[in-house]
Amino acid sequence: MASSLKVRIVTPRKVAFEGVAVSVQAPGELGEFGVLPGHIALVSTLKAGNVVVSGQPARRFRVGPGFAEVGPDRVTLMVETCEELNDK
Amino acid sequence: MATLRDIRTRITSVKSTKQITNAMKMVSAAKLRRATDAAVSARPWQETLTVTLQRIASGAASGTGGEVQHPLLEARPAVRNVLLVVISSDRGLCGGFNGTLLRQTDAWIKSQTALGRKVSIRTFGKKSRDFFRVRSVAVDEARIEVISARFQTEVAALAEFMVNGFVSGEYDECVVAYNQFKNTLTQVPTYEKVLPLTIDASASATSGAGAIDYIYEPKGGAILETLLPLYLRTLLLQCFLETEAGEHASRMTAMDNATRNATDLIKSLTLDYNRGRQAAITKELIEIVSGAEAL
Repeated sequence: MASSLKVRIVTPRKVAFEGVAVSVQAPGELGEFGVLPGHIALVSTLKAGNVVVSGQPARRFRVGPGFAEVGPDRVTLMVETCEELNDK
Repeated sequence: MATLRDIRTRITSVKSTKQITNAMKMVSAAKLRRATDAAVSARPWQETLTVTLQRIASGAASGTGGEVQHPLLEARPAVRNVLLVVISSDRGLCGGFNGTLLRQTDAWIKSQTALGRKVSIRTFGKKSRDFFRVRSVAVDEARIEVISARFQTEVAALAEFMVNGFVSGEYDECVVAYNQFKNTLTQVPTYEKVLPLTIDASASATSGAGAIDYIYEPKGGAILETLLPLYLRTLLLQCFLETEAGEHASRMTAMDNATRNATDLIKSLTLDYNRGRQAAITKELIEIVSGAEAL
């Protein structure tokens, strides 16, 4: 089983983030959800909110609405806007 | 025979034309770079979205209850009303960019009408508006001066109009006519059928991802409700971006040719001018010499 996630955050203008992480938290429309490696395949819509990508180092983003596509070893977030939050 | 003064005037005028075409070429080159950058940076979004939709489609096709069913995906058995969206540029002086597209579009409309279909037209850009106006073809709506900063809003409005028209049954098909941007030298007039949307489910199976059985959150239909309009907007935006890039590329090429022609013309005119000047001097000399001999 995969031990890490390939994470991509894509906006219409650019690829905002691409990297490896151990877990991702995203604001799903039906509630916040977390993804760990080996997650079941999932497609979910996202509402505006914060995304936490826990890796080396952990990074936080503020994203606009969009959707997420999750596989066992990858997370792709497609959002209308994405901005990195710089506070710790 | 043109006098020396005439030739001099022409040289001056060709020179200033050359300056203008050269400046336009440089401006287009700069704008082209910006337009291609925009098109290229929009690509990951489009590709990811396409792949995701294909995965969803193939996942559903492989048996878990046909979740990919949506009004926007349904092809109508009999196509009677077609919405044609023509995207051209606002300005001319860009070679055959608009001319080729519009001429072909005219033929395309005729071929559709021959099939008994009613074509409603919406245009973007001054050139396409003028083209249909001259031919007194009725156009439902003509939008002009659609600049890149407004693409997002224009596309959103157009997508909404298409979806409403399609779902209500007013249109059975929506087609976009635009210039596909192959490279700087080639733009290909293209007719893209955007509605009903087609998602090639077999593509993801061949790309190795295979069918994935997704959980949908919210449930199946609702997620397509969000995804498909998004996909439509992405397709339309791509058309606009390519038209923009193609226009500048085409203008750059046209102006480069014009500049080169002007340079050639100046060269041959200068040659004529110098020849004429030499002839005048020789004539004067002969007159002086023969005048002196007569004394």
